[in-house]
Amino acid sequence: MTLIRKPALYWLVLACTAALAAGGRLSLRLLLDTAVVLAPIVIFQCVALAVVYWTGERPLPFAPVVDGYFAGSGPWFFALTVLAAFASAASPPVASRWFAKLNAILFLAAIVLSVRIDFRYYRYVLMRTTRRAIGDLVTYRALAWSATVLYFLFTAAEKSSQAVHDVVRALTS
Amino acid sequence: MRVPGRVWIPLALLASLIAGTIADRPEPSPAIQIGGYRVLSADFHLHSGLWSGGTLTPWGLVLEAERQGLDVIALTAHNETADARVARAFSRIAGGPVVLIGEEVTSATQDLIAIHIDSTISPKLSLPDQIEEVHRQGGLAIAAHPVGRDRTQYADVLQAIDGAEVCHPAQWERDDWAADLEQFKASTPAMPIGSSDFHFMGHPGSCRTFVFARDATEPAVMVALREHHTVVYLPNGHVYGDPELVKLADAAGLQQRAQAYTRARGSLLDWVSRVLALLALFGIAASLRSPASRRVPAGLEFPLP
Repeated sequence: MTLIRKPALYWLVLACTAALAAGGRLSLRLLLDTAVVLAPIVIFQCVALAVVYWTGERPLPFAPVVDGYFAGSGPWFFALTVLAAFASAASPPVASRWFAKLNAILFLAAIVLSVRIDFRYYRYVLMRTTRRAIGDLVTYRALAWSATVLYFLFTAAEKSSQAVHDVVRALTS
Repeated sequence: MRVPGRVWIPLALLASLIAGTIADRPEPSPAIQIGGYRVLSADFHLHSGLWSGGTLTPWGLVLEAERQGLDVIALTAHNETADARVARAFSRIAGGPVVLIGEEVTSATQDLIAIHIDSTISPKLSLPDQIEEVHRQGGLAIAAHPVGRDRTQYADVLQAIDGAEVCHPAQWERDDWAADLEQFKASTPAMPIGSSDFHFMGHPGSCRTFVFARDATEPAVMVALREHHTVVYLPNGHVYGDPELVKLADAAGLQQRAQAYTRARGSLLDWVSRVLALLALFGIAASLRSPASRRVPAGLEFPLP
């Protein structure tokens, strides 16, 4: 139970926010639907955490480590909930114009806050060295986030890579 | 775990779910018959969640499209057609809208919507070859959101494409893109198309195409599209389509309908569901505490300033 309760809560929050954004309400149909589509994201995160856990110090069993790690999801939950509030209530014109900007601001804030929380988690709960904790931060994000991006966009890989290239060129020119 | 102790959170979620489920029924949309035509609401550019960048399943998207009063849809995954096949099979069983097999042929430089096709079209083909392949399969090729750089890629195929998205959410993102869409439509004889490009917000049909068909079947829809029997209203009041069909559409009050689809959505029950769910979600977020946020253990001083 300890192993799945927080990942399940994470899954529920993802599915609820996606249902609100997609349908403007939380119905059984929408909730089940978004839960199916978003389940892999939770799995990717659990797998990434398992990789980080099994490749270093293990002062605690895996189940409480998973539970404790997902308890640090507060910044992501706040960001997702604010986005869901906006997307569910705004008209399509308003949502289209402002969603990308709001998304960027909220996710940037969530990333900054979660980096601090996750670093402290690896450092003080998993008892990793400072250097190792930073490595864990990078490893976890590289695995979980890459898998998520691939899951959503791999069939449009050529376009996505071109978009990344354009952003990099815009930033460096 | 503190969340279950806060009883109001699951109760609010449950109440939200009940209100939302009651509200989750297709809005009554009586069939429109005018001038010998059956007028169908269509959206030819939708993305489901399975490998297509959306958050709804193909079958969930069919149900959501039905709820938004759409009679015809095309699922257009990036460079694949599997989810459109699933959606079509589901819709046939469930008696939902007509589902056309579609694909958003996504290349590095532009996107092309292909509808009513048999098999996946490779994005590695040149744009003229993609269009030719769509036609060879008996389908129709639509310029997808021709704004910015995407628009310039279509310069050599303006006569070859069958449709152009003139109403698309891109028009709300940037004012110059709204102008791009209309200027592109003015440069091609292709039929006007309104599409929502729905992924995970906005709602299917926020931009839509009114198709003037003989009946609500797939063959009739394709005949109507080949004859360019479409009318599209833009939020700025502009309207595109055959002048005779526009007259019929105006008389049927379709302009008011089109405008309504771009407004904030929701009945009272929708709002009740929304507010309760958001309260519960904020409650969950506020109640989470990472073990790492507690005091640093003795001897393990935080190493960063």
